[in-house]
Amino acid sequence: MIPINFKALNPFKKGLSDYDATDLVFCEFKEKNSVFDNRIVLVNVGVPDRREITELIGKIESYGPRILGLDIHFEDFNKNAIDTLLRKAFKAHDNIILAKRLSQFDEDQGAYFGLEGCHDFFCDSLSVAYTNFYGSTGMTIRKYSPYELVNGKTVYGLGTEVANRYMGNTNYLQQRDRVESINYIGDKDAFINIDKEQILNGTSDLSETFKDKLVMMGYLGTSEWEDSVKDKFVTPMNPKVATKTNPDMYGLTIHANIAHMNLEGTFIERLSPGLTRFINLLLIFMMVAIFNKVYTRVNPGYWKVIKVIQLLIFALLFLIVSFVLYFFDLKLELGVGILGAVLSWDAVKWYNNLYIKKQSFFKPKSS
Amino acid sequence: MRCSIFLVFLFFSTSVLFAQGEFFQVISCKGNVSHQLDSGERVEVVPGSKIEAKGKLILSDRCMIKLISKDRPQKLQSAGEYDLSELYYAADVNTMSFTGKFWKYLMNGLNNTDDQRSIKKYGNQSASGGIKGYNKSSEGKVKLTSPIYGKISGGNLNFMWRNKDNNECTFRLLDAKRNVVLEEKVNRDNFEVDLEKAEIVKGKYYWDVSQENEKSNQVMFEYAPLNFEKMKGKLARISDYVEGDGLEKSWIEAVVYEMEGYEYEAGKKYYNLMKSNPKHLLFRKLYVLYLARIGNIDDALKIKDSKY
Repeated sequence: MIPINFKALNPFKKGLSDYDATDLVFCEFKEKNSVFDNRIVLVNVGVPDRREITELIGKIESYGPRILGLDIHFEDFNKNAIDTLLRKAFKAHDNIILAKRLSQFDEDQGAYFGLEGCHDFFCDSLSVAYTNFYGSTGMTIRKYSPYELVNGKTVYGLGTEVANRYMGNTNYLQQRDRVESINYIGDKDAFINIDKEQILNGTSDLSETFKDKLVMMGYLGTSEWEDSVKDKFVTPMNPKVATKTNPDMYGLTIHANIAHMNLEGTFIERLSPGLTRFINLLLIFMMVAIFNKVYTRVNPGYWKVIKVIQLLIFALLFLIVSFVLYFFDLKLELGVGILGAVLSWDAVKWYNNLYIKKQSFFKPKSS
Repeated sequence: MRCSIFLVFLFFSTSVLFAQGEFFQVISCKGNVSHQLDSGERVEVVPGSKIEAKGKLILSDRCMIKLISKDRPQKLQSAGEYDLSELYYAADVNTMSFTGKFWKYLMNGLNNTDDQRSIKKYGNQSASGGIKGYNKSSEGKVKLTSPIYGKISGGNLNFMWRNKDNNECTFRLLDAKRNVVLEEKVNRDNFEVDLEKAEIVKGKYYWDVSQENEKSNQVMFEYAPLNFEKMKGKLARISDYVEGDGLEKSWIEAVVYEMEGYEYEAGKKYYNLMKSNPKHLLFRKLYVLYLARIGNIDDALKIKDSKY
């Protein structure tokens, strides 16, 4: 038996399992932060202290923001004065949205049965939204769910909820997909961003910063904790297309990207599964036909022509997928077609060598 | 003559019209940044403000400003005076078209095939954003330090809390329905429980500590005995683990335990790594980051700032 060492392939296993060709559009082709949304203000609370958050809410609200969403979980109730003041600050304003987490996922029913991450002392009778994204820890965050039914009640994702409330839209378009791809525009510099110190210690009038804006408070790192991976995720904007290892975007910024997408209506559209299957099937059929023609007509040297055609088809399909996403925000799922470009040539060769030649071997010779 | 006057007028009016649209939007700024108008008047610059591309931008020491104009972001961080109209036209650089970028990328070498992922493959939404808001001032309250949350595999579990003066405390272990399973009075800052001997069954538990007038939060943990053979198998599949030395092995074990949700065991491993290599900055950083991840910011900051 000949031992084969596949160790060299190990590092790519994880990377490729989390690879999506369209990530290239976000990290290579789209100009990062070239779109700037001046309606959204991100407030970096750093290491979030409840006393400071209470003060921040008071100051920000004094400038008249339209909506204030908090990407901070208040799980514990410590029964002290600070908590009471924080609750008072929440209750004093009707434009505040607090964060919760979806929990108790029932795989059989495909639904969540719980919301956690915010103590009733704070969240009771206040607007809440969940901060979950699609994907598990370490995986690229490409999708999110705009809303979920939790115990028969519709709960919205934070990005969706803040955008809807900002636009005064109480009826979210429920005919949209339950899972949306995030149309990233950039990191925190795609939005106005400000640190808590500038609000708490500064003497400037920040009306221009906050007046009538959609404000989102959360963690965007601190100078001391520059390397902190807390609340930081891997996104398609990561400079490494495959084998993404270092998280590149804070959760708050992802919610802001979702909010922007909702405000602008720049959702990434998808074709229906039936149409996608049909296009993929058509592509494979065309490729088989082309390869078969070349194999039977071009001889010798057919394999060189086929390799060139394969490369061209691969590049063309990839160009189409990227082009359509870049210009029309439409995600074509041609994965099967692209795989077909790679594998169909072998299928044609086997078919011709095994089946056709076998048939002609058994065919009675005409004399 | 009339025609030339008309052309001059047209030139000036269009210049004025175009100049009206020339402005910067401030993305963020830190420190003392001001905008000096042509009249000499100075206006403070704050994030979100719009500044006309006229006059000067003045940055003092340790200041930074990020601006955007014509979809081109710019960052200034050196102290000095910047002519805004120069900055505005400097932003007017050509960007590569989509086709150019595509072919550049393709020529740089594209070898991988696609693997479109379905929603099912993503599993449920176990990743969640947000950060825990905590109380910096914890006076008048018993602060629990370990285990904070996560799964516990078994064995001796050392429950720890802050009790500088070794006052009498009541430790309680409660089951998922909040029935008291174990209650002990102790004069120290920890209490050890052998989960197997105490006949604790699998499931979720809460624990808390109370002193005379103070009570801690209730912290949940899950007793989920670990299948060590399965864990060994998982580790054996990691080539770096098999080939690694003692330190690398412990590090990988800590990471795998944490990924599996066994935060307490992972914490012990990170801590032991740091303790056994006190001069090694990496292991200190790993432990500090671990503490930050589980929300124990106080201890994380303390260890980060301590001498070594």
